[in-house]
Amino acid sequence: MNHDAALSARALRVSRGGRLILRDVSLTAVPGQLLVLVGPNGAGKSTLLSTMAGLLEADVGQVTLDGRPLAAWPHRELARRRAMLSQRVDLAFGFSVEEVVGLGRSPHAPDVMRDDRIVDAALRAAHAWGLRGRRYTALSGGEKQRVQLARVLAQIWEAASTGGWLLLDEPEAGLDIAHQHFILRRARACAAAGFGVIAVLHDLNLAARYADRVAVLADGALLRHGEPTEALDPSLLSAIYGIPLVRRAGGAIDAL
Amino acid sequence: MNAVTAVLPRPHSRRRAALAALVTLLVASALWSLSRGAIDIPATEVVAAMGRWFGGAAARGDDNVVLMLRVPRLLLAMLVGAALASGGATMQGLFRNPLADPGLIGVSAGAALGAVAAIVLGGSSGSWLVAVLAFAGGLGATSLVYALGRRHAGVANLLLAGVAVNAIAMAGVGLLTYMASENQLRDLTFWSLGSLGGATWKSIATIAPWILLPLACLPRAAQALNALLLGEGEATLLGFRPERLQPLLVGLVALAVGASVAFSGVIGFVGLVVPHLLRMIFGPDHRFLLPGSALGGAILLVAADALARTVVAPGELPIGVLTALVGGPFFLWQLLRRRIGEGVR
Repeated sequence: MNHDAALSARALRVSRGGRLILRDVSLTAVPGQLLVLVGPNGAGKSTLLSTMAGLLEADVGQVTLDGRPLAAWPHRELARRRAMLSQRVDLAFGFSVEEVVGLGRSPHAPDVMRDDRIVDAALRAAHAWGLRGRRYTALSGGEKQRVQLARVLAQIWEAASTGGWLLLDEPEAGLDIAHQHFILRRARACAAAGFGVIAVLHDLNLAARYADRVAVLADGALLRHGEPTEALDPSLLSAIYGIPLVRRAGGAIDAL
Repeated sequence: MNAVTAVLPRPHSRRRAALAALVTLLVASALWSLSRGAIDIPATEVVAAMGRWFGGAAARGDDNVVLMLRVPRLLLAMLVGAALASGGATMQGLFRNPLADPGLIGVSAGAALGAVAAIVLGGSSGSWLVAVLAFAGGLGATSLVYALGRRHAGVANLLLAGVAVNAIAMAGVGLLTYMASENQLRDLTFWSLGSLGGATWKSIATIAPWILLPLACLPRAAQALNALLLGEGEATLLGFRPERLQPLLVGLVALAVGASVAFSGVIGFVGLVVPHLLRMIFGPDHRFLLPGSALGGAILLVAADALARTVVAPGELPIGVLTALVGGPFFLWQLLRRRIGEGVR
């Protein structure tokens, strides 16, 4: 594995409409780990994730992948290395499930046999195998989320060994409890396979249970970054969420 | 297990068969159209006439009717139909709206303003001045829409700028119509209902590059358009550059549709209905939809023109009226059929 392999945010400052959304955030993620971003609504988690994906441009600071600024990466090459599952994808056209997942292969040189094989594998990996042949527009919200996960996995399917990055923006939103745990296990499995994985999560207990590293954001600033038990400090969390939170005996974080 | 999944039927082969069927249908409708008219010429005689022409043999009988009148008109119908339908498919993808039509970017209204200005102010119904001003008007209006709409990222602003420019151009058309004399009004009406009657070999040679170039380029953007259906952000994440693609596609569609409108007037419905129908049957994949729409648009316009020339012979129906008259109910029927079918399942 590349010695410098990392996705790094360096002193990012992002403002939108005159409001400062990220204040000098520096954060480095490494392959083989699941990094979870937590924080209250409006903390800047999604903005940080989008900026690290290269979707948003920072006003100050830069994001580097393997030491090279994202802006210096050819777009398609970057797309073969990192994929992002967005919070919501509005797709009003009636693609079949396989076609949606196949869109993940568009940064790659077309190869029908290989692409079909990867689409099938990604559908299985995302628990969406049973949705084959369905029209995307007719799926439920949770089913759509799984299909989008499969698309994103198909995009970087071969990149595990070459330092692929999987970014997930609230992947658990709208899923039932079984699929919430499933999607985080899948994220962990991707990390174990060599991907770098960064996920924005709202559920602190999912973060505590699955993350290798946790970054806590509030009001556009990175307050803490470290091991889950260290970063998810009840007194810090109580302060930023504005309600008293405690760690129960089993480790679960709960409102008092 | 793996062997089974590897050969699961995919849509690729079905779509290839559909494209082959569309080509066959186009050839059949072309032969039918060439044989119909003020005098009916059997299809075998049409083929023989073309054979004599290609072979350099002397013309016989009705050869000149076929070669000098009907073939240019057929080619114009094909070019215009293909341009309108692929322009519609592209705009629907770019705007992520299955109800978009090529007129959204102002090209039709701008062309109408140019044509009307030529007829009323230029005092000319000579087709060349009308065509040149219509083409210039279409491109000018689209440039204006694009210049106004690009001030903010995203396609919504382009849409709104298009609505505004369309309204202004149509107000200009209204004003000029008000000023027009009786004779000019007749020309105006004729133009605004669409006609392929001006087709000559010379006009084909003029119009063909403006349409064939975009037709050849658009399918190259098929995968990008597919990705754009997910949204501009998702397309960017997939390695495409929506901010570069947008002006390119708008420009190509403006060229093709502008040239079509300049020579044939406003022929509605083709750009909306053909891609929509194909999408209902084969799904929204632009790798199929763009060539499919070009073929489907050509077929629709060839058939419509053959009808327009023969239904009220020796008179001629405006083709724009016919496409809407035949296409409208067919489209509604498809729409109702699909809805009911989906509701039952």
